[in-house]
Amino acid sequence: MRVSFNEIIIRLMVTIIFLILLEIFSSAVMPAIGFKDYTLPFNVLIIIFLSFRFNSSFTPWLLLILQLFHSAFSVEGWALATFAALVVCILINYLKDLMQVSSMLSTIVVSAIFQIVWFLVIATVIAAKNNDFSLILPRVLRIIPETLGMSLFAPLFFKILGRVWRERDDEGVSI
Amino acid sequence: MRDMFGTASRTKIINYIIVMGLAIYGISKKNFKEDTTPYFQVFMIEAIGPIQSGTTSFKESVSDLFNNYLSIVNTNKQNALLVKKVADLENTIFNLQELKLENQRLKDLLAFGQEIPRNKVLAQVVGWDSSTEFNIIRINKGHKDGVTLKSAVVTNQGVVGYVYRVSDHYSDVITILDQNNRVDTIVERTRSHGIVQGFSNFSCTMKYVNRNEPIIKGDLVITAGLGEIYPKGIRVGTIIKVERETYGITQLIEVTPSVDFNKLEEVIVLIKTDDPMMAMGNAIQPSQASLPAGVAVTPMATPSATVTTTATPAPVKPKTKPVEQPTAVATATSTPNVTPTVKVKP
Repeated sequence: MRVSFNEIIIRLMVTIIFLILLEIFSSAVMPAIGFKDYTLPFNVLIIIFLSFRFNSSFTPWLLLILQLFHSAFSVEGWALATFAALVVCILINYLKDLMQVSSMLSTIVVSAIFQIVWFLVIATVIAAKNNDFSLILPRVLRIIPETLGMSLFAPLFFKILGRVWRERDDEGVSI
Repeated sequence: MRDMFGTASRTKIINYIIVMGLAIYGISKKNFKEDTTPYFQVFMIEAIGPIQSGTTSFKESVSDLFNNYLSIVNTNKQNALLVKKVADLENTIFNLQELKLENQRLKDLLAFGQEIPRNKVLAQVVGWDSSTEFNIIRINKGHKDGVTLKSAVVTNQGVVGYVYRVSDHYSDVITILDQNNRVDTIVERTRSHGIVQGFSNFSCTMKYVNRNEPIIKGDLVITAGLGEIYPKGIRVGTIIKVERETYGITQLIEVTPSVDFNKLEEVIVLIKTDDPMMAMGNAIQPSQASLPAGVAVTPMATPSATVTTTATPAPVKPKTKPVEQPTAVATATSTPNVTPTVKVKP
């Protein structure tokens, strides 16, 4: 499905507003009601969705813009998150044809796998910056509960984002 | 390349390379110890901070509503008037109890660290970092309140972390639970030096402690005062695990922070000053708008603690408490300028 550049901008803005609301939920509402130990990284799910569904030469710029907004909520920063997003996006592009995200179960499993890849990339880059690789494995293991939690949201999440990006078929959106 | 990008085009590949290059450049410039905040992020933080702050207040309101009204929804109509009176009274009591608890917390904070020659700014926690990899909190005080980069952030329980980035009205604090935060510490009993580094959401590791040091479980860890961030003698945590392997020159030590991060609501930012004498007499100044919004600290148990948001600020007398020491040892460590008291709770 091909869409115009203007439509992409509008959909991107809606996605950004959606991201901001979710980030506020994750950074303020959840801790306020007692969930301080586990954080739900909604930006990762959005990136995974766009990597699967949005097939365009502007995809990297979209990822960069989304991570710029995410950086206001996290000291992770736009650069580190964009790097991880691009790695995940390239991997998804490469493996997309081998995976199906049409059923609920497959969506959960696939999103869990790529979330773990995401955190592995982030942990590795931080470890490289700190020159301390001993913490990579414990940290990746620690995020597994959150990953599973987020993955359960994935089918609903993809459905909502599918509405925003007005998917009509399994081919996704392209310009 | 075509396989990797599906319907690959030259533009697409070029875009990927450009953005990847930007990201790698950004990562290479990224400093996990201190960050200069770009205008865009300052704008976003300033725009989002009030929403996060409002969310916290909203939660309090909803909590009030839930605790005081929803529980009496099913009351008999005939008793409606009486129930309303009871609800009003309960509401008042609940609010008073909340105020009393808040008052006590703030008074404890005010009494903490009187001897530390730094300006102190009281701040409220309004948000937590949305990324899993970082243990960062956002407080509602920034440049306009005098907060500067690398200011130590503490509570009366111990060290929280230091200010990592600042905007006009908000600051991000990198906590001691974050792997990027390293605190120079000493074990209070043996005076053994080590570096405490964040490890998980509830514990830290203490590194570089010689394996010959007789560290035991339960030892108290305090700041060493080296470096320029934390004053000496502030509690960091308690040792909960010591492992000496058959090889190596150091031992593996796990520390649980003395600050309960799950119940963190208010903190003190310790801001360095050029004039130690001025800072010594510098109780938290309400006129600097350093108290959390809408909070007034009124004298309760100790009349000497006279800080209100309306009266002329007066120095807060230190609240002296007898040191109780059931198992651990409480000491007062001293340096020429800094004389903090380490209080140990049973």
